Amino acid sequence: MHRHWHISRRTCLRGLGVALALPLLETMGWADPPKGGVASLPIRLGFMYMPLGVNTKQFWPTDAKTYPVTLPPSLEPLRPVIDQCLLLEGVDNVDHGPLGNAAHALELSTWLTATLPSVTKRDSINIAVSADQLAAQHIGLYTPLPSLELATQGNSASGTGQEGLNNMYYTTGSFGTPTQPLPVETSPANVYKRLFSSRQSTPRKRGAPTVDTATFASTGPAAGGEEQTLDRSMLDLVMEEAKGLRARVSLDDQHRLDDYLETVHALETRVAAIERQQAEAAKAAKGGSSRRANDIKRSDPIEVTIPSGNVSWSEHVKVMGDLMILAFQADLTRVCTLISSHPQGINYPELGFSDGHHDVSHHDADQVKLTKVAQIDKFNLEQFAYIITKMKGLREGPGTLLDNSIMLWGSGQEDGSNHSNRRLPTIIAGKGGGTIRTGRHVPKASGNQGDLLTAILARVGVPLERPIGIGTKLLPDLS
Amino acid sequence: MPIWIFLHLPPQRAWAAAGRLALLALGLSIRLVGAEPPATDMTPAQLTTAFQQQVVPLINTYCIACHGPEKHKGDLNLKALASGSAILTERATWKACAAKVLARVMPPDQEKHQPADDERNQLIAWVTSLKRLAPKDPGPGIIRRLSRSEYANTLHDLLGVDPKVAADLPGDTVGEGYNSTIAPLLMEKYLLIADDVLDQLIKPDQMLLKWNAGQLDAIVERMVQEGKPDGAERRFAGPSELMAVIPAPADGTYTIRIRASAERTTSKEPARLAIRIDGQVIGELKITAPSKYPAVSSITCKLGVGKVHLSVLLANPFIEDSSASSAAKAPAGAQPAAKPGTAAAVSKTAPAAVRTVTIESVEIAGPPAGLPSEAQRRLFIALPGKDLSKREAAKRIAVSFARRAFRRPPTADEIGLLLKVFDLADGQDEVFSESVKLMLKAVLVSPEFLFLTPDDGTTLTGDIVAIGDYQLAARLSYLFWATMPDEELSALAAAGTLHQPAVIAQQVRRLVADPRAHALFDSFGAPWLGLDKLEDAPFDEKKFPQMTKDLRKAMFAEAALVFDDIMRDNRSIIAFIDSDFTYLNGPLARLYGLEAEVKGPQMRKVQLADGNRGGVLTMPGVLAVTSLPNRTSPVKRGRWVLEQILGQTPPPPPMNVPPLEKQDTSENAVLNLRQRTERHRADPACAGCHRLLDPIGFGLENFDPLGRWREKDDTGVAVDPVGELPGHITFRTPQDLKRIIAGRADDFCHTLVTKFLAYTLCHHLEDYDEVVADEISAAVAKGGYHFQDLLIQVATSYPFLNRHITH
Repeated sequence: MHRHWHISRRTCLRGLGVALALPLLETMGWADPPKGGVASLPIRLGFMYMPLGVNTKQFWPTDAKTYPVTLPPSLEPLRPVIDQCLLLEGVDNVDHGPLGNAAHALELSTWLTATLPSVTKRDSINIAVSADQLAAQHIGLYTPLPSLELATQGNSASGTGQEGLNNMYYTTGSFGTPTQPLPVETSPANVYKRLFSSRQSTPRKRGAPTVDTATFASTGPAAGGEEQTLDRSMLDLVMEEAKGLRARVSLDDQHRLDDYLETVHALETRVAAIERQQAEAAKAAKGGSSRRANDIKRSDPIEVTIPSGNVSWSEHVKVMGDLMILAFQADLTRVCTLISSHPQGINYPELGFSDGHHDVSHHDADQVKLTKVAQIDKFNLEQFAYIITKMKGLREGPGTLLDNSIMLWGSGQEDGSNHSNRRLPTIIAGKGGGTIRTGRHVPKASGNQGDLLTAILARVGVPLERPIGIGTKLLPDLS
Repeated sequence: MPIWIFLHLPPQRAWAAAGRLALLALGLSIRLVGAEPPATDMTPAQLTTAFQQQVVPLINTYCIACHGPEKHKGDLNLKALASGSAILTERATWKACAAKVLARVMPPDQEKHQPADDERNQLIAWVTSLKRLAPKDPGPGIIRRLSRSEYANTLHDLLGVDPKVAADLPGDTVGEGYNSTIAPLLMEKYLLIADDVLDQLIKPDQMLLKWNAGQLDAIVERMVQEGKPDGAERRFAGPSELMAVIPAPADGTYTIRIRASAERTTSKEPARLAIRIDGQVIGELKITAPSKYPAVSSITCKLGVGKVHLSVLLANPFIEDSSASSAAKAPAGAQPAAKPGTAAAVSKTAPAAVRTVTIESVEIAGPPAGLPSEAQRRLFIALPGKDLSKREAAKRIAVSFARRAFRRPPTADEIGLLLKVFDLADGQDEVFSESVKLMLKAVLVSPEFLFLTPDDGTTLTGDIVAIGDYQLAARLSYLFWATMPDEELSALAAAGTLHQPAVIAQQVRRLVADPRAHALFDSFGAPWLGLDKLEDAPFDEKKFPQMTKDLRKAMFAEAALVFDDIMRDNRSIIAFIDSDFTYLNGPLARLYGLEAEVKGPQMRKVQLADGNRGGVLTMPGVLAVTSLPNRTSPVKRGRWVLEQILGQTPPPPPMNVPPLEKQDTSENAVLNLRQRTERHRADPACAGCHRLLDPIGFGLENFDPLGRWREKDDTGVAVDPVGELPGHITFRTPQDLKRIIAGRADDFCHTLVTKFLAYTLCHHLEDYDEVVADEISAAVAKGGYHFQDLLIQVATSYPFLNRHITH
């Protein structure tokens, strides 16, 4: 039986049916760090993507002596926060090898994987877990949402394209498993609903029939004798049923079902995380414990206005950025990916011309097109600067929200005209809790995209068995 | 042999031959140009012999030095591949080799010793024929997740709800390369939608309000304490009162249940809670449960419809010794002023010890607000009563609902699990309708509902099994209607006759005759034509202000209605390329210059007098999605025709030459067609492709990006639609061009069959599928290219009706 409370302070994750009995937004009681971890403010990871490369001449600084007083034209929007940024030049991504003619299908899908898709099973998705999702699997355990995947365009696609590759490779940057491209949320209203809403599921009372959850629930961080919601117990039974189905299907389908089970399990894990966070918040609210969360000074949650009707691209990106910031502030998630457009390209009527991004990116040194590319680059960086500036203005402990974040902005191509994925446009903003030395331009990075992603994940304490994709080490240039 | 419709055209063989050369230079589909493959009736043994005699010598001459036992560059040892069974198992590798030979990537340029064209041809022809050696295999069965629209339609058919309930799901389209996985975001939304839908349909068969005591306002020690939304229990020590408002939905008997406990005291008298309705005491509850074991006590009362005020008052807040006055023992109700003030007055004379009572929750149960909805009555086919236990009633509901939701009779195990879900809620005193609701929710998030699953119950022995009739019913229904099977399909599945080819054929005809079959255009037709991208295709708003949402919708609808027309009337598929009718409304008719004839927003069928119109090649929607935001792109249009109509995939331009778009620059636009073609031919890396792409694309230059007829292009230069295809096939108008392409009926038929088969199977066609596609194309051609034949042929094909189980 559901009760609908008309209380704005009560938030919950819709669909999960779990209420965050929230003073969360008020006290923001952060969950304990992982066992053995250091008690410090959480580090947030943001990944923001622009497709089709840049006009390199207007993007990279040419004179080390005058940087950052003299900025390349495309970087001008970052001037107020340039001391918070680290420019990494010379980061290459995975060689296209036998998929050489699929540059656009690969630019986004390899950006956070640094891995080439399977060459043998091209019509299905088979790549690698992306860096944001590796982070979500670890630091995401401590927040209601492991990660947020936001975009301005949906990523559904059908059929196969370049080199016979599945068309989802064009449009997808986040992969939950090597075979699971994650859908993106494009509607700000839906994101808001997902983060804050007022539905809750009936808690299970003591004495209700018990369900054997040993198989699935035991691995969650808060498994055990805790009270469950009815939904959670119901899902356990649904998973039982799925196991029956598993026996009737082919091997490939068993993998699909495993993904399904994994998903349901992930939801359960999240419910557990929410319940735990709720308990922490309740403890803090009671004042019984002097939790550090309450001692830490921080700015109020930002106000987000959800636009209605037709919005321009830049408004769309900005509100998505706001939602990311709000989710970070309230510790609803610590990992967020924002695909500001995907490689099929959009056009930018806001800039006063209608040419498609993809079209002008094939500039062939044509000055008119190059100018337009630079305008597009600058416009994208304006949006990034908006987000960074806002994060810098939000106090959190002794520093700012940005100080406790690592925001990676980049593109999967160097220059749309040559389809190269060497020297990827790469900017990191935020100090990563003091682990990143910003205010610099590194003209010759000493590692590849895999090394970069590995170094970022290491800074938030994600244990990796091996470096990501083509990486072999931690990129040393960050600190 | 292709069937040529316009026999007056120049010798088609010449085009075929020239095309072959062009394609050989390119790495295009070889089937199209028919480098004569070995005879179709060759046995595996004969193919192997042909290989030994014709192919091995070529490999030994041109390849083995680098890709042999000594050197194996690129990890390729052709010697090992060329023997015995490896020829078959390594077909993918052979195909890759053939593609490189075709594209003249291999042998590399620096090799002096290059095979002659007919030698390349021979190798490729052999590789092409290899598919016939593939074992008869339907490919893996795919348990496909319902797409967004299928899910929405199914909820509508199952529960009668508006399909819009699924609008928040991420969009997806089914078909080749479809990805079935369920990401957490999706699962979350499925749960949410199930909640929304069931809440909307099922009204509790009882009114039930429940509060934690902490959520209610209270008066404690004369102070009002407001309830908190997240409040838990309330602990009363001394005079206290709890207050609530009950919106009674109907006249009737209501039950008030209070879960509470009292701390043990020296007094023998238990704590008493007085229950008052609108100030009137209706009775008392004795709280005997000790603190650790709270218990529920209840009381009933009659209420009239309307708001009433409930209060729960600790009637004996003080512990009095046995000598206390009898007046103090009287029920609280007897004291009209039993308010905190009065209690305080008592305290003047009574000992100071106070009772401590903990109230956990207050619950009011009463009659339902109204009659259950029609949908609810349909779901609740059984209700508990004198002769029917709650669980038995729930079981009947589960069996009936799961039968429809799972698209087959549920198994005993499945029903057992659903009843366990029912027990979860029932075991904690949820009302019957709410417990059933949880059970139905479990059905709606079950994989058996969300995926199209096999129903054969096969124990996994044997490699290949026929799909069961229930799964077949679902396959057909989702293919043509994008929703769950209707009664007729279900009945045929239950009777076990559906899989008979004649029954399938009859059902396909029935399905396509139904208006719901428009779903096939949305899921298959639109992606085939590229129109799924029309809604969001960027257009220069200043240059084309008329390209509104409505116009885009009309463009989409035009193609959809033509598709439906061809399907419903079982026309020849050639009508897709060349026909004398279309569907228009007023705004769309303006693009055709038919604004005088067609007015208003309604789409209607229109006979076309202009031979340049009619067919998808010159349809505004298609012309728009193959244009750039501000101008036409002959290259995109040419490529679209090659890929979507003729079934050839031109490779992307080589990396070392300017991209295709470069060819469209204004500088080129002022050149005439011949000059432009010459420019493309000047570079051999481009020539092969553009020899076909350019004439087709430029042949459509009379149509602007919105599909309007024009005599001059953007630069003010007269459009020159005259073109020449390889083999000296010339055309002077778009109409000529359309008819030349319509003349390649077999190629078009094969393309459509291949795309439709891959769509139904959800994977790229491989090995045996390609053989099936060839066979279907031939059968459809033989029967006169009727669209329904094509659909029936695919729906009765071996891979459609069987699945391979891989261990």
